[in-house]
Amino acid sequence: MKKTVKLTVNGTTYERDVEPRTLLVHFLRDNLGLTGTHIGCDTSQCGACTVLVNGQSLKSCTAFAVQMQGAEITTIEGLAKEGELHPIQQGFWEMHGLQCGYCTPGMIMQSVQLLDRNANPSEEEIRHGIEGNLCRCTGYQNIVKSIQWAAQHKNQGATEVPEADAPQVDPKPISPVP
Amino acid sequence: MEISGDYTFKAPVEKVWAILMNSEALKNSLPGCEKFEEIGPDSYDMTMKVGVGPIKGTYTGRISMADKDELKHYKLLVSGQGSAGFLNGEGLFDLTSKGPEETVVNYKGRANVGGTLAGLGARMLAPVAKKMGNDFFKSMDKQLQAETESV
Amino acid sequence: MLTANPTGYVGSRIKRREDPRLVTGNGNFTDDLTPVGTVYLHMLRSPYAHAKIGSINTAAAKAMPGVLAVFTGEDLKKDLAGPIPGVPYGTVQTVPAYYPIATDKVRFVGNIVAAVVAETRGQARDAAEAIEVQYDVLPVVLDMEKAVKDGSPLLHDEIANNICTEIELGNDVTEAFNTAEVTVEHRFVNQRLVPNALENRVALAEFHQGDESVTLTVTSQNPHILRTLLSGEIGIAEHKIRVVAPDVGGGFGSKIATYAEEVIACIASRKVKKPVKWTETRSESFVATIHGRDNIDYIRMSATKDGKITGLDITAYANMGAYMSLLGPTVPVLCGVIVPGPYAIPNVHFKAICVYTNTTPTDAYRGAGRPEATYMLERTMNMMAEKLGMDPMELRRKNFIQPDQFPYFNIVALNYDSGNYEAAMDKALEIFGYNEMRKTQEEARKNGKYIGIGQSTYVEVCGLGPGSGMTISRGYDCAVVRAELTGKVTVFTGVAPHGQGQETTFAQIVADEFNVPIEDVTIKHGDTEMTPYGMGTYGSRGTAVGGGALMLAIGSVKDKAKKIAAFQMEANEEDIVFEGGKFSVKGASGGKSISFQEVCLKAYIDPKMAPVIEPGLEATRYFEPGNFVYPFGTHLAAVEVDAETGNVKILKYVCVDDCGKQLNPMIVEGQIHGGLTQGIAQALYEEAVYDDNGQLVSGTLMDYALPTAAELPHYTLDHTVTPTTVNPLGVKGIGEAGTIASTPVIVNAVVDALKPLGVKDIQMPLRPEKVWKIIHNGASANGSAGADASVVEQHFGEDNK
Repeated sequence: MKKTVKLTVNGTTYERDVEPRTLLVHFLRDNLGLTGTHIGCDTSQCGACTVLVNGQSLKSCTAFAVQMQGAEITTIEGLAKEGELHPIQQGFWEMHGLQCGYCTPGMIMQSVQLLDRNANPSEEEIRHGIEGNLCRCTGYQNIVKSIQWAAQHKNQGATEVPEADAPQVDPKPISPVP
Repeated sequence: MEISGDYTFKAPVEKVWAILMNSEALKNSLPGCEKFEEIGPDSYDMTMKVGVGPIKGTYTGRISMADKDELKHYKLLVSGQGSAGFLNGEGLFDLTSKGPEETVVNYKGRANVGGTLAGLGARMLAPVAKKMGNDFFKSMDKQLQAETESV
Repeated sequence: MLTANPTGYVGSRIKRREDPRLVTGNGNFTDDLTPVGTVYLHMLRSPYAHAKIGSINTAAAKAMPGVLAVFTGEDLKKDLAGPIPGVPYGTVQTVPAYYPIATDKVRFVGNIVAAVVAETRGQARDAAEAIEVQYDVLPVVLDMEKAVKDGSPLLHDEIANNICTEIELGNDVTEAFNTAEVTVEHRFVNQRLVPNALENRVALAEFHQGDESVTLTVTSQNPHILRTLLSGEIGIAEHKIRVVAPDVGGGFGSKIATYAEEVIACIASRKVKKPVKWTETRSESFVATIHGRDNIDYIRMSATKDGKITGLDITAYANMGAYMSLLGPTVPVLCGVIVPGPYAIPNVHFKAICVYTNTTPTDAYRGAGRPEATYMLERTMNMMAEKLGMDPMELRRKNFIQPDQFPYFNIVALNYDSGNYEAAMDKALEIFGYNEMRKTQEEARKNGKYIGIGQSTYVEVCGLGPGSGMTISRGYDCAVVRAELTGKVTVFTGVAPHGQGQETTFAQIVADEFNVPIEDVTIKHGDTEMTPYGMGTYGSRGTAVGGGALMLAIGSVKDKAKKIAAFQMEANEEDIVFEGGKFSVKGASGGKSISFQEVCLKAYIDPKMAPVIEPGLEATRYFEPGNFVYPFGTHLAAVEVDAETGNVKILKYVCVDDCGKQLNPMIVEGQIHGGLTQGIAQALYEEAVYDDNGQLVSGTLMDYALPTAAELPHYTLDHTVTPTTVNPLGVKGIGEAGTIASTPVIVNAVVDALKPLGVKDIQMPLRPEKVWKIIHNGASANGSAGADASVVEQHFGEDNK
């Protein structure tokens, strides 16, 4: 029995029929083709699938798509605006905050919330704030530096955290992938 | 994994023994039991639906009773296999009469699990087993009381 | 050699060119790809560690909705050209057949027993659940030392005592131990680890009916090797197989081997005539992807009273798991060859006994053998220092190979290229403030606090490998450098980076060498249809070997460019110099010159050159180094052990590493950070735990402790630069150094912290619970030091009394 869910992702409103058991992460990847959100585990430990739901970070493997009725979701694909990287994306680039890049989308989305809540976090606060996101490559040191870089540059009035753009209608539905 | 515990019935040992030996009561007391067929004396083929944390699965296997020492002791052997792995175990049950209206059953068991059930569910297994043990006796107790009342 | 770099890319902290796509979610990982018509593959795995397969009933599964095919071991065998290969080494009895789907027996939990292809993932999974398998359970063998004893259950009937192979290296140490003034001996357990690259394995196979070829897009560190091996497994000729490794989310060795699922996906795609995708789940990965380490090491060391080490004798039991994975027996070889470390030890004997057990097969995991060697050596150095009453650093200093001794033959197998171990050590001691930290420690002890200092001086062997130094194959890599008509440069490399950043470092080299903006350079990799035969990325070889090939190819392109420039300027080829992006005639004044871009254009279009110079400006070159490279360094750490909780906090971590010339210090540091973290995590957190029945009980990320940001310290890094002449870049490789050095540092530090309690060793990982028990119940609670003394004595017998 499929259910209809209507939600906004990166400023575009979608209405789709999904199986109730479909996890949000699978919905984003398989139904909307937004493969920037990654899957790294099946027990909600790794955080690779972190997205923003109504401004709050959420591991998208911990929610069903049907629970997202009316939600505004931002994924990694929706963070850069008009070709301009978000300060956190820029920070990860500047400070070598990634190697293989697999945990990076989730790590960045979690960092967005971290800096939203605390504009000038200490190293300890940063480390605590990204505790739920695993990275196997960097040893986290440069991720911490990346977030610090972003904090500095964001406070200097660089790009603001994006608000959802004016809702658009799903331009061309991608055929759902099983 | 080791499991042990006890359960106190407010009933004489004879009645407790009788209900524990009753195949219908056994069937009703096995959690998630879907199929239960006698294949020999004290031996049954069964299908159980069990959830351990996130691992829910159907297990097909066998349950049997052995080493019966009337009113005192028996052994329950369970083995099952399903998509989420396998589980098998044995439990030793000792009955002690504490008076005309009180019987204590001590149980001590060992269970082995394998596959996803062990990998993913191991941490949840002990509390689940404990709960299943408790539910088993509660169900037996309930049936015992129902029987008593109907009499 | 690198030329002077007017553009200044090499040596600079150039931001990575990989990153823009990865920070915006535009990466291209295998599971992101879903060609039209893709169907899904799901594996049914054995829940038993050891069992005979009685019968398999697939009828119900086949009848389920969406199911396209079901394979058992026997079904698959018909389409199989050969089993999954392993590379034998030493006294191998025979390589047991490792079929992608088990046929007779299952030998570890996770061994595949059937595979289902269906239209959706859910359907494939549901159908797999409907397959009925009857198992006859067999006794399980997990303990290596028991497995080799007579009468132990056998995994493979044809393999006596479960011994996969024995490997013996070095010289006779009997005399050294007979005449030893001081000896120490110990048994170390180097626990089993799960690599846990954040991206699980994925295989997407597309069989093309038209020409009967197959494209496998896959999470691989070495697509060419995989293609060759795959050909032998699926029976499709190599030139009809294309292996593509797009963005790969980390490997750490776990994506070197060829795996069952890749074979099954290819065969399934051929059968169902559709693209077939298999995506591993994390909990599946825990049992299905190779594990690392899992050694038991008996070690004894002899020395003179004044601290000169005279002998080293090791027996290592190496757990192969249930089958021989590709490099299973190669890992202990890599341990043995480097086991004397940076010390001049005249007598060294190493024996490895590789054992099959009912566990997931093991293979190379970051460091592969060298962490095992460094761990036991550096722990034993501290035990020896303790026995001699010397400071651990002084004992090391006394035994270092001296700079004038290079190239140095280490008795076992290797010729170390270059090194200055004392310089790195002195720098580390100074940055760390070693003497001050000793005073702090003393003060802390008076206040009942447990502070410890740990150390490790290491040398590792990497940059695989010299043509003659490998076991089964030459060791080289390749590069194609193509100067395009418009003056841009495209490079195709045979290495397959997956986080190491060669899209950047290689572009830095090219931009400097041709004096072009880095934006004009593209580095391509990971596609067997695009690059010549390369060995891939592992063993810290990408830059040391792949970079060498790149330098050779650049040189060849330059040579041809000079020929063209000479033609264009009507000069002698020998008189052409290339400087500042321009070709000019040596000694000729008046400034006649031609730019690199003009040469490129002429190379492709100038009709005047037709009779004289072949068109195009491109070269393919292979580089095969004459030796390995030997990075080295000193790592120091201070830890505090919380007596209340047993938790170990790293107060300070200083490392001075020497990887020769650094092309991009930012990337070098990143590699070290990651390496350190994996090594520290082995010391403190990670461990694959099996129960008595061979069930992996640490089989999820809930139970297997990967380190998080909150547990780790801020590392202080520095370096020395001792170049090597082994490769044209003078680089030594840095991917594994951090992992190799860091594990013993932490354990040495914790043991030092708990020295007042009489603690001599603690078996890894040093989890709080274990450490707490030792603090509260005394050193006797320590499983490995106390209980094993007699076992160790028994092992080495009476020879060292």
